[in-house]
Amino acid sequence: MITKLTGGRIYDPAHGIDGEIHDIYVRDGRIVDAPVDGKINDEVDLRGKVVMAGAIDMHTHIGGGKINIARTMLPEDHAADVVARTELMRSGCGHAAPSTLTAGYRYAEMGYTAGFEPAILPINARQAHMEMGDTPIIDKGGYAMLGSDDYLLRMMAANNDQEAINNYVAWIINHTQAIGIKVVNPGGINAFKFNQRKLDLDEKNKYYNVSPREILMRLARAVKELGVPHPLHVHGCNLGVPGNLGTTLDTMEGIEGLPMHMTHIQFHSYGTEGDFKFSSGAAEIAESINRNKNITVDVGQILFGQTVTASGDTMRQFAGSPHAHPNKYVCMDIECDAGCGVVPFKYKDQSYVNALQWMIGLETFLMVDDPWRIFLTTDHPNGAPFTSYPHLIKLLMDKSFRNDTLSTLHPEAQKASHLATLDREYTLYDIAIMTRAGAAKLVGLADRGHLGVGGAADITVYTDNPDREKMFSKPDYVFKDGTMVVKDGDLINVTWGTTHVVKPEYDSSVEVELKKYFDRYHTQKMGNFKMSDDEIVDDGRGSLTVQPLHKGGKV
Amino acid sequence: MSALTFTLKQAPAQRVDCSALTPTALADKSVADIAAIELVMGNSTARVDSLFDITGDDVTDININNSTNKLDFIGHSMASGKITVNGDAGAYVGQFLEAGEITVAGNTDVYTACEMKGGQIKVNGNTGDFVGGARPGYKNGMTGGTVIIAGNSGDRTGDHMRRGMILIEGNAGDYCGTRMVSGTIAVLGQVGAHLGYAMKRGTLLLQQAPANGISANFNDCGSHTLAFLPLMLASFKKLDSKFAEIETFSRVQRYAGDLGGIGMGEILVKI
Repeated sequence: MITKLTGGRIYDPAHGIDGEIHDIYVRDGRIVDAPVDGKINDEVDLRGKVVMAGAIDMHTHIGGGKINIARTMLPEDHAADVVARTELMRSGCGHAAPSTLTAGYRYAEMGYTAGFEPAILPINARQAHMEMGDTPIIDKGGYAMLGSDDYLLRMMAANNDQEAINNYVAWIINHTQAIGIKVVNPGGINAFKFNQRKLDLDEKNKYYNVSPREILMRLARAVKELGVPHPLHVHGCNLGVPGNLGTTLDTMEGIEGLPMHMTHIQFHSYGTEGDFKFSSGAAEIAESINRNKNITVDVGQILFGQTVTASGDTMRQFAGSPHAHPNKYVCMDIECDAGCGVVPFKYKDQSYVNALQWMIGLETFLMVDDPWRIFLTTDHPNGAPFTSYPHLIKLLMDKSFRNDTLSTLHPEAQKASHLATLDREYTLYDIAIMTRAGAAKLVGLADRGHLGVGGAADITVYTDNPDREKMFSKPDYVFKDGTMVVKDGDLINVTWGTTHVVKPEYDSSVEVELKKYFDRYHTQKMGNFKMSDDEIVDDGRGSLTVQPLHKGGKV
Repeated sequence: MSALTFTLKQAPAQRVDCSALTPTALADKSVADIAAIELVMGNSTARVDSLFDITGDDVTDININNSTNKLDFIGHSMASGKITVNGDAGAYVGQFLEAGEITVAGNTDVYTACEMKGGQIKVNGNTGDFVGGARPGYKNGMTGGTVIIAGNSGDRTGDHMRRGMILIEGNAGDYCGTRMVSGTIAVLGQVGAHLGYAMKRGTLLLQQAPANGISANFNDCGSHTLAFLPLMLASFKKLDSKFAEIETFSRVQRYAGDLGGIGMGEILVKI
């Protein structure tokens, strides 16, 4: 069964293709060469259409304990956005924290074919994968969260060698079915439990006497030495604190050239200048990113409206809890392994701080030169729900729209930003890099994010429209593994995506100490903690795709 | 013009969402339009004329006859007019009510006057739990208006109540006035256990001392003569309620709590 997609204008940055017209052939969910005998079974006419690989959201909170807390805590989010059952789709609800099924449908309807949960708490991995297993159509995967777990901190306090830490990290990745490692407020979530309310890059955790910088170095080295393609995914210190710019620069420069991904950088780019003691640090941050080729970032753009912030960063979420809107929040420890904070929030365009946050995000997008190293996110749902991506794309691609929006915001914030002077407009090619080729490369997906022969047939087809928001919110067709799932912006098929993982090797002797640790301190045995492949595959619709490792070895 | 009357043909087996049958929702609709409205019933829908016999045409004055406790959301978000329920009513009577009047001859189910904003609800029978409360997970219950209960109220009356008045001629159940933010609940009969649990502000006015006593998280502030009481009692004179007939008084024992929180609520007991 060969399907021919005829005559589309292809944007495939992985192969350097920028708007060339050619045909694509799909067989058994893969992109293949043109058949020698010229026989095809089916043809879809894409003449005049824009064709890209399916989009990949490399940082979106769609599974795991936090989002369930947000769902439980915010009935108003659900009551205001109810989706009825159809013949094809199951019912659901939620704007900022949609139900699993609704999240999958909405992603597919926007042309997204993969999403990665960035904060899988190892002890919660089963819950996260079960939720993602219930998210239809898109591929998923996640980054296991380390850095505030007592086991790692104990190893570091005992000054264990890097080899031991590598083994532990590889063991965690394998048994949480993760594709990378995330660190959130390194050591800070743990320090919070010892009554520290802030932790700078070189400040020591009171109990373990370990600093965030040391944690980052150890984990970034482990990830690199294990050959995990996704660089260490870092949610840095001091999120949201005016003046955190310095810490962020120090974090990026101080990693000594190791690959590192700085996530939702917008929340980490604040200065303290001006009457409001809050200013944009985007220029310095962008300059540092441009200079340090080992650094990648995603923006975590905020957009105005009601959302909910959900983070593992108990320390910073606790500090932000007085701003909760509506006035309720949850900050909690999770199994003594790390923590979480869920604070509902409303970004207001007439607030100086919120307006400037919006500008800082866009400044970062426009001042980082290399689209291969910056990614389009709103840190869903922290900056805005993922459904606002088309709007964000329009802001990036359309200068006059951007400036019109800018002129309606808080006047003092407008004066504090030079966003209006930035002329750059993203091209379709740039967008395809950010949301497809670059994202696939960053996460380590060999067969996704491109339209070359052998790649998975995750394909999104748009009608070129000068209104980019309209264009990107309703694709004409979306193919997931070769199956047409969306036609004319409406879902027509519900399929189930795969879970992408990596399987770095480790020395099984690591389990001797771990077993003792679980027996002594944890609420479950080590055997129960380990998530087997079957748990994802056995229900008949989930599957695992093991992505290739890079060449590792001692740094 | 005569009152628009819906007479239930037979008691429905499933719950029926009657939120479409209010003066506000039916304004400018002809009787034929109204007959064709599909009401959500259980997991399907049913036309209004398949459930009810319809007579009259004045949408500002609605009667629901033969009503049972399966009819939910009566008077939902209503902003004017009058609904009279002859029989029992289901859950969420007068949810989000803004103005107008709802009278229920029989009993009501849970969440009567849920997050009500204004207007008046009179229940001649008993009510279920959570009168004037907030929906689960929400922060504010009723924010205005008056609820009169001729019978008894269920548990957790006035949960998260924000403003307005709940007048109970009979007894109130357990946890009366829990998590109250402010507003007034007055009870002529007895109250159950855990009176004012987690109350922040607001007033619980009792005609008789509670049989279970006052819980330890309320502090006895002594007896007071409060000048506002005769004024408030006088304002009840216009109501169709036993509260219109009570002899005025101003002398009360005052208890402040819940001391587990900010402790600015008060229980006033007539002495």
